[in-house]
Parts: sequence; structure tokens; C-alpha cells
Amino acid sequence: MSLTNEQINNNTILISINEDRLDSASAPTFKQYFLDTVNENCQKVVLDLSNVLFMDSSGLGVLISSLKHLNSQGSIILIGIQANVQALMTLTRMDRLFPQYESLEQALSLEVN
Amino acid sequence: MRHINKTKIVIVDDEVIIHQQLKIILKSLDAELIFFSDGSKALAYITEQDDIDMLITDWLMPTMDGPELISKVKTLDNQKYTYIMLLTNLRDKESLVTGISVGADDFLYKPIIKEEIVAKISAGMRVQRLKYELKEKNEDLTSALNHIKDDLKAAAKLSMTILPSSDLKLQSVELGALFKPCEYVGGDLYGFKKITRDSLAFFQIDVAGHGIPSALFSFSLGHELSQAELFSNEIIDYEQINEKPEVKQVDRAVTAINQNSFAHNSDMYFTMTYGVLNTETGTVKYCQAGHPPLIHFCTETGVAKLHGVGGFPVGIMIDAVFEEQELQMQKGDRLFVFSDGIPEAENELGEFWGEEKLCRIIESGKEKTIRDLLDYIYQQVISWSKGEKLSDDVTIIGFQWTGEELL
Repeated sequence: MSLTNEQINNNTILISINEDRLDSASAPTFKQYFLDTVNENCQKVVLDLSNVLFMDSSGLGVLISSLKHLNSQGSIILIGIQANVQALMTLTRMDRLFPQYESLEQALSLEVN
Repeated sequence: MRHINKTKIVIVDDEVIIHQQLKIILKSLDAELIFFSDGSKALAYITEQDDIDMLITDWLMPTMDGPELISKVKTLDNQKYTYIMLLTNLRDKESLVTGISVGADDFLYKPIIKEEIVAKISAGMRVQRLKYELKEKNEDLTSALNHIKDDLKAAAKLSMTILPSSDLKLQSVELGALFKPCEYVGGDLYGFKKITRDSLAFFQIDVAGHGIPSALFSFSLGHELSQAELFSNEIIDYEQINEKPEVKQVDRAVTAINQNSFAHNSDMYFTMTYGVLNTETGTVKYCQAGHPPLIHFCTETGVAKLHGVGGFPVGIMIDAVFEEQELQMQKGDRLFVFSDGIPEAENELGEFWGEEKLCRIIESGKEKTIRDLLDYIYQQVISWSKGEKLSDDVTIIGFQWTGEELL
């Protein structure tokens, strides 16, 4: 599974999933990567999902457990979300737990306020 | 260990002098030596034995030469592990290639040099011992795996015991269920129960992930739900017990399940649809907790439509708020609850089956009984994903409300 990260500023890290699926096969790898990469005191994790065309309930589960890994001030912000994944987020109301933006720039400018 | 006996070496050479030479040279190895002067006789012997460690054969022999003997020995099932050496005075590249390609592991050269031959045979015996160890480990692993598979089959049988054992036929409702776990044990769960005189509660659950952890989770959840009578106390209004107990706000049952759920102590969560059909009026109140929408088939128009706007899954947030939704059935209408294993079934091109296809099949199968229709849907999913193993459990509950008055 191809995952990359970039420190945006002191409290923000960008993780990109360079795969077309986040499912039961790839979820454990993502989880380990998240734990290895993100400090629990990190405040904002921006997750670039623009390559992810399919996410199943295991994929969603790993996003939720990643969010639980952060302390109560932490958030996971999704960018570049695709239609199929959007449908799952809407069905499960997870769009209320994970703020969504079109791009990194938009996420950074709007999340500050 | 299988090989505690002496190393058994079969030696084939048409020159008897070589037999005698080898007998003397190999004395120090404490191996059992069996000599043949003829390839076909050696082959007949080898075919019958399954404890031969090593075969040393001359190349040039009348009737059957070394390479022919080796290639025949290689086809024998009981000689998979035999270490084979070709005895020859041919040292050119072509001969080397021929020898190796028929299956020789090493070469011994004539004229025989004692030190060389002892060293090579000792090396061959070391390889043999490793092969035997590997074989034994392999057998252990295979038996352990079979053991696990047997356990899983037993677990699968047990997990089926918490599911309703048959379809349900009431005066005004005909209900069927189909459940096909993708592995031995599944993470899907369903149930139904008459909770008041005119209320039929039904639910379907899909624990995220699959395999043993999800199945165990699903099993305890099923147990919890049946112990608590599907948490029906939460939704029956007993204040009107003297008249007729009424069912209110089915989301309360899901809220109770969410608050009771041990899921909060783990990474597990599940999606669920919990509904109650009023068997007299055909009204369905339901709570859709992250589960796919319902499908309502209207007999009058012949159209099947998705129903439900979604909601939080269970086991993620202890204070999650769930909502009740409602739909009205007419006499003869059908309602289906399904898990995401159906829309997410993939074919070899990576295309998903989708919810629309399910609606169309429900429409086309309107003449079938509920039972036959569910089986038909499953066959369609299987033939769609032909060759691709389904990666998730498949569950559907379907029922038809006939609206016939209770006596």
C-alpha cells in the first residue's frame, strides 16, 4: 500500500493514500502507518482521499479508530473525496465527524477560522 | 522423526567392479547399499520402496540409461524427496545440462576418487535431512491448518444457532431470510420476533470487517439481543397495556443497543437496521443505523424503491442520536433489508453489483414467493461475480405484507 505524509505546519500533517481502495485488505496497513506517523497530540490530520475510489466498512472503521487515537482536540480532515466514498460517508453520517474540503488550501484557510 | 533408520542408497551400474569399489569406499558412511546392474530392475525396486534416501546411477547402460531411469523415478509419487546423483565420465556442458534437466541433483565422476565421492554423498545426506525436516514441518502445518478449519466449521454451526431457524409465516406476513457467510463464520446477524399482538420486530446487523473477530463479536451481540428480547421493552408503551400496547420510536431500541454495546471498548462497530411492522396497518417504523437503505416493492406500480436517509452506525459514539423513519406498505407490498455484501459484490472487472440492480431483480421476481426470490437474488449475485470469491457476507431479509385481518 502506498502512503505518504508531509508536515504542513506545527500542528498539521498531510497523509495521502495513493491507492484506489481503502478496504479490509489495506485497512490494517493504513492503521499501522497512521500510528507510526501521527503523534497523538497532533491537532490536525489532513487526509487526501483523491485517489480512493472505493472504501468499505473496514476502511471506514480504520478512519474512526484513527480519530479515536488523537486526543479530544484532534481532528481528521478529508480532502479530495470521491463520489463513492462520499455516499458511504453520507449513509453513515460520518461527514459529521470528519470535516470535508475540496483541497488542502481550502482546508487550511477554512479550518483556521 | 521418520528417518531414524540407516541412510538407504540405491546404486545402479552395469559394471560390477564399480559395485565393489563403492562398497569399500562407502563402508565408513554406515549406510544401507542396494546394488543393481540394470536400470529397469532398479526402477521396479524403487517403485515399490518409499524409504530410499539416495539414488546413484551410471549414465551409460544397456536397455535403460541413467537419464531415462532418473526421469522415470521423478514421475513416481513416493520418490519426491529422493536425492539423485549421476555417475559419469562425461564432463562436457551439454551432458551437465541434460543430467540436471532430467532431475539429477549432483554428479559423481569416473574414475572414482574416494575423498570426492564421500564428501559429495555426505553433502547429499545433509540436504536429505533438511528435506525431511521441512517435510515434517509441512505435515505439522497442514495438520494444524486442518484442525483450525474443523474448529471453524464447528464454530460456524454454533453461530447459526442464534439465527432464526426457519422462515416465518403469519396470517398477514410471509417472511424469509437468506444468509451466506463469505468465510466459515460471518459477521452478519439478523432476527425477527413478534413483540406485541400486532407488531413484528426485525433487525439486521453487519459487523465491520470479517473473519473470526467479527464473527465472535456478532455471536455475542446476537446473544445479547435475544436475551433482551430485541430490546423491545424500550419501544413498547406499556402505559396503554390495558388497551393495546403500542410501539413507539424504534430508534430507542437502537439507542439502548448502542449504550449497552461492548463495542465501545474495542475497535469494532456495526451497522444495523431495526424495524417494526404493524401487521394490522402495514406501517413500518425503522431505524437505519449506517446500514444500506431498505427496498420497498410496491405491488400496485410494480416498482421497487430505496428507502432511508442513513444514520450513525452503532458502537462508535456512546452519545450518538438515532432517528426513526417510517414507510407505509399497501396490501401485497414487499420490503427487503440487505447487507452491503450484495451491492459491493464485484465481478472480474472490479465493477460493483449496486443497489439499482437489486431493485430491478426484485421487480422482475414479483411472481416468485419470497423464499424463491431470495434464492434467485443470491444466484444472480453469484453469477455476476463469477469466479471472484465474494468478499463479504450476504444477508437479505424480505417479507410480504398481505394485510389479511387477524382472526
